[in-house]
Amino acid sequence: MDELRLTRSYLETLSTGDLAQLAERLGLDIPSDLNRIFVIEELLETDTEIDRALIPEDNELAVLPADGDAKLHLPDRYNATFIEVLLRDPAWVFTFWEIRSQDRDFYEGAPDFGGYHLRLSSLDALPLREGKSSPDSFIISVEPTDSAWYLSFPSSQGLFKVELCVLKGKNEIVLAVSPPLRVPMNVSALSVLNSQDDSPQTKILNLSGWDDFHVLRTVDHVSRLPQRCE
Amino acid sequence: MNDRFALSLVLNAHQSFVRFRDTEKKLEDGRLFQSITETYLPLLRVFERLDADRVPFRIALSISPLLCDQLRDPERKSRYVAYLDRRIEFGGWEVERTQAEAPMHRLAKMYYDQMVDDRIQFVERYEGDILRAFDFFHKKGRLELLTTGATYPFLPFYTSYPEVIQAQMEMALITHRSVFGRNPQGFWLPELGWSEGLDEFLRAYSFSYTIVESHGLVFGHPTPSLGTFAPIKTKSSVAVFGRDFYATKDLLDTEYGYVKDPVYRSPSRDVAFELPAQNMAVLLQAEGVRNPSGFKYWNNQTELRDPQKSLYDVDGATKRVQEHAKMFLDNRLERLRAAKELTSQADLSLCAFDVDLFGRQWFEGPQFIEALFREAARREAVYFVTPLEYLNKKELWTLQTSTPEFSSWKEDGYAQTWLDSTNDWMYRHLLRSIDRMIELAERFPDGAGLKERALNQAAREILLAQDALWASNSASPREAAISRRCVEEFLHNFTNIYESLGSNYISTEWLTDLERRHGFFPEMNYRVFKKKR
Repeated sequence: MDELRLTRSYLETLSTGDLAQLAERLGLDIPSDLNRIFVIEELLETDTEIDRALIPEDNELAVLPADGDAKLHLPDRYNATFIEVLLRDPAWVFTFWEIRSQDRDFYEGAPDFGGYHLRLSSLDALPLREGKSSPDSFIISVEPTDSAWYLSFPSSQGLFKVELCVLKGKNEIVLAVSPPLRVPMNVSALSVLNSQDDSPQTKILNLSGWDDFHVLRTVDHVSRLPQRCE
Repeated sequence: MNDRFALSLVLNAHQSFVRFRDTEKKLEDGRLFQSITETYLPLLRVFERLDADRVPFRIALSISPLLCDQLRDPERKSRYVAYLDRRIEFGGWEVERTQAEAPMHRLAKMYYDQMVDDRIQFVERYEGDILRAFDFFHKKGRLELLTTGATYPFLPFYTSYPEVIQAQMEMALITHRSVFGRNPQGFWLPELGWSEGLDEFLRAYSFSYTIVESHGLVFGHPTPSLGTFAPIKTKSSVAVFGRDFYATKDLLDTEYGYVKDPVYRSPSRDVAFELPAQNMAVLLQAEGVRNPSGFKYWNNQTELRDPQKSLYDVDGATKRVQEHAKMFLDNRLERLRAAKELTSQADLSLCAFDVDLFGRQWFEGPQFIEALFREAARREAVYFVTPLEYLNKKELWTLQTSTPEFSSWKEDGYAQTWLDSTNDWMYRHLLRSIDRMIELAERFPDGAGLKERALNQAAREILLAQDALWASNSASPREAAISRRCVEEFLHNFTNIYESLGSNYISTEWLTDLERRHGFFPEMNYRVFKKKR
């Protein structure tokens, strides 16, 4: 049987009525008010081979590979040792890192290689530490193949840093340190503060929208476990 | 004396640069040309009518440097005229086609006449120079012009790279000065993305003020005692306005927002997507892909598919616009009065939106703005003011000192839009390439000739890759694929230049072709990426 896959270029030539008909014949349940852009996406997502008979007329566009441009090559690695952190919201930070190939070979080939880890530390508490292990820091073990994680914070608000470390025997060696990162207080904590009084200021803040802001309201439902990036 | 309250309307105009290969030209132009036709020209007509009627309107508009560059590009201007001509030609047929259906025919004639007027307005009245038309109203004191990041990046992601923020602000100033001949006082934070420390950069580049999302201001530390009803100043003495949360809700609430009103015109249902292809050959791209024609006959009840109920009624929509403008003002005044009862200094509502909302996304939007100014002119209790005018009436020292909280105006109020599993891949490449760009600027402080051209192009590519759009475009697979290709292409070009400079050989032919395709910011100077000492 003469079969083909739908391409975007072809679908974009069809009228909205023809798109709806095609979706129906493919068994897709499309709401009547769905924007045609989304109808096209739905049709493309079916990713099924369809009978040429479903195409109203022979149209070469329908058999062209969609968006068939050559892939552009970006480096897989930059052969540098670094760690970066980007703040997503009061609950999550995205961190990614790389270790220079030579260093990697050196550490991982050593008999006392104890693995890599990230150390998350509060900078607010640093002056009190004087080099000792602080209760305001904790470590997350990472695999040699890992290169990015989403991290959640033990408590929100404050200045933090993330260090990329390797364990050599019993010694922790810091390979890279992220720039300091200030994490904001989450809204549920702020709301507790706001609800504590009935002052004009609280009323003003409520008039400004405090209770209705469309922001990440609570981080309670968010797992505190760091998330490995696939 | 009765209380008088200030309202400030600030709009943000930006278009990303998608012309990275010829096949995508139509996509980029389509978006830009729709904005010109449906938003920029209608807004200018509103300004002209208000000015002619001596209505005391005041409005602020941020025009992104990248948009400035596209609007002053002679090639694009010619393509826009051709775009209008194709629509006018299609309109002629459409007027004929609808002759038997009186209500549709009336609308077709209205659209046709408007398109002819658009052409006259653009070609003859403004001589293709929309920026000059906006500047005219600036010079009359009606319109305040702001700038924003050169390529509209989400700035909080770059606070560890001061060179990026400097480059974005410096190129913005250079472009603004080149187009309008002066420095802007206000800086629109792209996506209203704020994080602590940005005010120091704003101060360094002599910006007087910026705007943050409502919760960014209200969650500031210390908590602003006047909420969003007055600006605060940061430790660096930059004034920061908070956006009026309820003004946004009135217009854009997913359920009750004015723009969703059933009587308003449907933004998506266009006759070009309904007719057989042979009826609209003039509008089809080479591959037969359909584009919107601007001939839209249906209202927001279009899903009813009931010709009686879903046909767009111009008079009904005009009437509703007047009602909505009054409601909008009433709502602002109600909250301002309530705030004033609590503290006498609460006197401002700053309403900030994307300019494309008014026209391209909401057909009646420009009419709404006009109705708003006319209604305000009839009321004693309210007057419109630009942010700078408002600040000029206050002493900076009287503003409370506070630091706004990390925030943006997108869905969750923070940065989720630009950082999730669909787009986080790009930051590794982007930040490493930025590192390399800074290295280039340090290594070649006195680049000249071909080397300087290559370095300037490297700076263009790296700036383009920072547009916040690329990461936020993951809602649909199509847009995500385009965004991915854009970022990959920009960074690929950058890496080519970086490696070429390392090996001391660059293909002049390749560079010249790239400059032709990505030749925005003619004033580019790669040294904007140098470390400031």
